[in-house]
Amino acid sequence: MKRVLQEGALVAVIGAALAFAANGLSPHRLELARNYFPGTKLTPPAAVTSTNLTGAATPTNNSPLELLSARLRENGLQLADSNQVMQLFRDPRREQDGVVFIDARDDEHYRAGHIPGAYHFDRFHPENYLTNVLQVCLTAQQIVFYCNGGDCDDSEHAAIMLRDSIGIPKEKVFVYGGGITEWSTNGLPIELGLRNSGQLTNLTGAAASGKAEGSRQ
Amino acid sequence: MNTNPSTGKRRSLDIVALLARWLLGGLFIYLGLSKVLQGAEFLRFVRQQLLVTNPFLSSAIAATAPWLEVLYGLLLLTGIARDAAAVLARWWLGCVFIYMGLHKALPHPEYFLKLVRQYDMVTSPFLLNSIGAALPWFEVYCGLLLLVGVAVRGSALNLAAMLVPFTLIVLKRALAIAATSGIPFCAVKFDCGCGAGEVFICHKLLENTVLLLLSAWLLTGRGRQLCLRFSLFREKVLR
Repeated sequence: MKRVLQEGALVAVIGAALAFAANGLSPHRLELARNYFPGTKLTPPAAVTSTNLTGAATPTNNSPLELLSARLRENGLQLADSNQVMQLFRDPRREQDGVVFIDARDDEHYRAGHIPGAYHFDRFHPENYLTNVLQVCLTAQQIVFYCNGGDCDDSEHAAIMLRDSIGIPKEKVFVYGGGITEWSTNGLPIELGLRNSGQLTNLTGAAASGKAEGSRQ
Repeated sequence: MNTNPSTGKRRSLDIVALLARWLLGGLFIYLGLSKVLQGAEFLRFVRQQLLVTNPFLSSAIAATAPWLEVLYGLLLLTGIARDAAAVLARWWLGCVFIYMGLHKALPHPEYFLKLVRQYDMVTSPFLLNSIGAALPWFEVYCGLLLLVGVAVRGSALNLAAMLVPFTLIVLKRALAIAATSGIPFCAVKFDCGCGAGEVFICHKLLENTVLLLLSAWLLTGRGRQLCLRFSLFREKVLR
């Protein structure tokens, strides 16, 4: 028994060292010292569960939207609903980057379809995106962050990260709670591939795939 | 009449081992048959989670793997070819942990990090990142050791030591979801961060029980055949 415990301890020590080394060598590594979830509290389990069951009623009085709105307020952010987002999207200032949309999902999801003209900022790899968004965020009058919507909180974290790191006034920052899922469900245009690729569509399939992976994004 | 206390203790342990083997056999049969009955869902799992995109290959795996599980369960229940069954258990456990670890570590470890955060276990970003960064690779490492047969009991001990708390926190979270959303416990389905996407909680608990029993079985010293180095330390030779 003692030998087994000793062997277990040895396996654990070597394994831990190798595991951290593997993470360090991986091109998809996590930075240990970085705070990936700045200034937020967790959503209660009922709101984050993404069961596929239909008709699963939530007996809480607050709707997910109200909870999201309260959490955003707590973090000094403003919630934008679909009407506000539509207005901002149609705002002529958007052409000159006066109004900016920022997609906070990963590269794969961004390329599969994003709000036309939206910049890309994946907060897990900010070094790859910061140069693109830094200048526009500093000069824009209004910035809308979004991700998939629903349980997704990447837009919120990305907004806090950019706001706090480059000093964007909080009045400028909005989070679109419905995200790309609501956007495409409303039949609004979706841009495929890179920013300003010109490939526009309003495929609801993009929303469906986003929804399916909503819990992961 | 034998009144030796060590003989009595050994007999009790044998009975426990027998019951554990039957339980494990029964669980394998149940899990295999449930996959047969939910063939379409298992096929989807093979295509989406195991990433077997070739239609012929994925159909072949979906059609045969559940029956192999049933067969393995029968082997355990009957006690036939126990040594071979133990080696298969070691390989199977190794493959499962390699797969689950790689699924978490690549290509998006941040997904796993988000899921770990949902458990609200640690508040320090450094600790959270350390778990998210190291745990998947640690699973791969333990899986590899089992597969090649190095430090088998030490690896099995580590896996068991991880499985017990993980199962408890998954259970705790599922209970919280069931309580707040008002749905039956077994209908709770969520991504527990275990490496297989969204799963029904009861199924997950059964799977973890199987993994835990297999680890415990290897801890008893089974599965020595085809090992590179079963034990890191020299074992006492009993004469």
